[in-house]
Amino acid sequence: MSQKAGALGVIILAVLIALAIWAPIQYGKYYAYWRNTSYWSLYPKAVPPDWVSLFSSKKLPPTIFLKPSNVTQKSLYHGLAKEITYKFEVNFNYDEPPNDVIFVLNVKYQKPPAIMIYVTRPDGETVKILQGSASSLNNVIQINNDQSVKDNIYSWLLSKGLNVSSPSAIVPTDAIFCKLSNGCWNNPQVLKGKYVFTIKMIGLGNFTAKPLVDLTGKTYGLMGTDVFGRDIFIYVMLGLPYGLAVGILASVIAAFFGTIYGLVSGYFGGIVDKIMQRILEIWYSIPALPLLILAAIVFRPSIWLITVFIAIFAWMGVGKVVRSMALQLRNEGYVVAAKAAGASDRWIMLKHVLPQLLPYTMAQVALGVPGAILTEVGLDFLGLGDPNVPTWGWLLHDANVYGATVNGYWWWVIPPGLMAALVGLAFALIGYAMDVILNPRLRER
Amino acid sequence: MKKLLALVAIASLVLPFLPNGIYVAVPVWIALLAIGYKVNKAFTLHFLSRLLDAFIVLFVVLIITVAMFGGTIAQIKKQMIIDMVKRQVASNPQLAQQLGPKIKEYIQQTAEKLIKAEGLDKPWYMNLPMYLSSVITLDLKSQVLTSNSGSRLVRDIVMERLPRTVLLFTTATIITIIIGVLLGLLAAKKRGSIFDKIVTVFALVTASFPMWWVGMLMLELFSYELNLFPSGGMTSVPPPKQPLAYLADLLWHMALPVMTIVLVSFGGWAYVTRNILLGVLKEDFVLAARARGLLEKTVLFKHVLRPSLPPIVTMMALSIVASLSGAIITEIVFNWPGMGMLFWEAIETLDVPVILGLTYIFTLVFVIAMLILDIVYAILDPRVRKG
Repeated sequence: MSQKAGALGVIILAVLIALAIWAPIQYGKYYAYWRNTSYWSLYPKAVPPDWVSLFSSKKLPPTIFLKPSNVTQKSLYHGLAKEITYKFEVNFNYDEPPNDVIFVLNVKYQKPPAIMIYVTRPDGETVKILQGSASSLNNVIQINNDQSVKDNIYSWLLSKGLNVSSPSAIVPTDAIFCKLSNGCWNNPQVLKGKYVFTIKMIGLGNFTAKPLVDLTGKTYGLMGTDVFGRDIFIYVMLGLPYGLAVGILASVIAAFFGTIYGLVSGYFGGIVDKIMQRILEIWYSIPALPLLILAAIVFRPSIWLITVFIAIFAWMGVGKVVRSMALQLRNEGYVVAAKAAGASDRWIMLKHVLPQLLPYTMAQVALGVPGAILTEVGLDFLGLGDPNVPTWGWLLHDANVYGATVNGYWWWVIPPGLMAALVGLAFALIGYAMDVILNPRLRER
Repeated sequence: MKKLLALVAIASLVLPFLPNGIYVAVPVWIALLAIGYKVNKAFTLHFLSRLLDAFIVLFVVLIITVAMFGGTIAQIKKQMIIDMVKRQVASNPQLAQQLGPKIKEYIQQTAEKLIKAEGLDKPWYMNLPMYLSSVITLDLKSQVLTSNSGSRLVRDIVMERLPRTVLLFTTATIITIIIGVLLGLLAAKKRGSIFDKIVTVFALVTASFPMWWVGMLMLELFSYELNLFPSGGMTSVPPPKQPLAYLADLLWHMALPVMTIVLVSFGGWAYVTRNILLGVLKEDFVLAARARGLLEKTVLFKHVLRPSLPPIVTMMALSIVASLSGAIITEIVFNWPGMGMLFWEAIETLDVPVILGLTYIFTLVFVIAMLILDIVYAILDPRVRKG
């Protein structure tokens, strides 16, 4: 059983390490966007992952970024002016309209061109969405929040003879994607088929544009997004290297110190041992978290300093185990022989005692990782960690602050905690296996 | 005699809470220690050395805290003095009239004099005794937070929260211990069985879960999806008037956080208990007891569980360390208005005096819990008890 557990732990750890190497290579540029909410404005806010559609009777629209499928350029008035038409096609076969449609214009000009945005629906209807000069339009247009879009759609619905009371009653995406009927502008039956968004720019002189259309969906990606639109999958993956590094480093530092402490204490024995054990026990009885909180408030530390702080409160377990081993080893024949041969204490400790202890230290390193990770995640959850580093604790902190549990954003809560638990589990399994092998009392008969 | 002494000792703990009781308590305690030394030297010495440890821990934590926050405490104290002078002036209209436009100057000068007199202009290590005493007696004013009654004294704020945390944490710990030890006993008895393996795996898995994260999931599932339990807080708003209804309401609100703490902790308990018991099971005297033909139940409870209790109590102390930190954050998730929640509020508002007071009280509670466990250990371990 212990061997199987150990093998499972090693496999999980290997996968995690592979992911930790892959994630920064694949998504490294997103480290810069961690606290940059404006970057994520094109993404849907707080939507579940794409695969929830599989469990839903309705087919929910994912987030679709459109590139122009067709660009035509015309010269007008003998080359004085030009007209560029961008067409964006999308086959929309989902049971709900998108959350929002976002147009990004990216126009560069000397004289502002006139811009017209309209959509051609599968039933052949062409709806004007927006019209204006490039200087008066926002670069990023979210149609559900735009009053003039509502006004335009209002007049279109009226021209269809529908009974709409006021522009403010209209949800533009619902109206654009609905089968026309009374009330469809906020409670739509989706009209499925090919939609073509057209952005037409007419202007004097030279201008360039790189427009984008983005149908933000009711779902996004592998793990959905948070309230800022951040892709949770990316940041769960980018948190992995930090999670692993903090856990392993803290545990290694603690084990290093604990081993030296236990070795000295156990090897010398007597009064030295007594005093050192007393100090160790006192250290044991200091509640770590409140002091870590204080330290975090005072020093506003980087993630690496936090790692060291965690190690300061984690070395005692190793110290105890190593000391009890060293107490036994110091009376072994070869140690006594080395002493008789005139070897120095340091030599004996390093060459004769330490090598015997190393396997136990290794087991303690593995067993210490879960605790270190939990502490780090906890500090970040309290909002005391390094804010510039995307860690699982920060994801959960934001989830808590923005009411993810209240609103049922489970995709924001489960993955970060599960990853922390998985890393902890891998090391717990490995440590458990080593512990059972090294500790004959635990072996099953 | 011994039992009587123990009863008197426990009863004497009430004394300091009576008015002027501390003056009665100290001589009583000294007398008790003296009698204890006569009656049972080893036990009393063990107790004394642990008490000393507890004081050292408290002292170390206080020194660290004050060293980190010395400057801030000085700032707070200065502000308190300035406020006091302002109030004096405001409550004395004659003086205010007399001073006229010089009122600001007067306040500043008087405050500066007082600050100098108290030595607040010196570096923190010169004022260590003063800072220590103001943290120990919790005699600081909070910067933002107030108690329910509106007091801004850290003592009032923290003491209002303390019983709530103790209530939640003690309940959860007791349930955890009972479930954990029983399961550990069963697992050790049937070692190598499927049940044993399930306990081991469960312990390994739950030990890696952040307790408060499990709390978030429990909230989402049981409170928001299934609507079975309240979403947080300690009582409904407004709380029921009838005592019985109040108790029921309290238990209903406690259920989810207690379940969370128990769910995450009991596996580890069972696993550790199992390992300790397995160690004892291999002892010769167990074999001898079995060879004598004793009932398996008798062997397990009288010969195996009894000598395992002291190490189990030691493990208790260690695991309480771990779960207390988890419990701090768990309170935040469940909006439980205890000390953990207060920590969160104080961190959010950077209310340093409250944070200092909390750290001190946390350490105190923690040290007292350890001390109690040490005494239990001494009672359980005949080598210490009999001397």
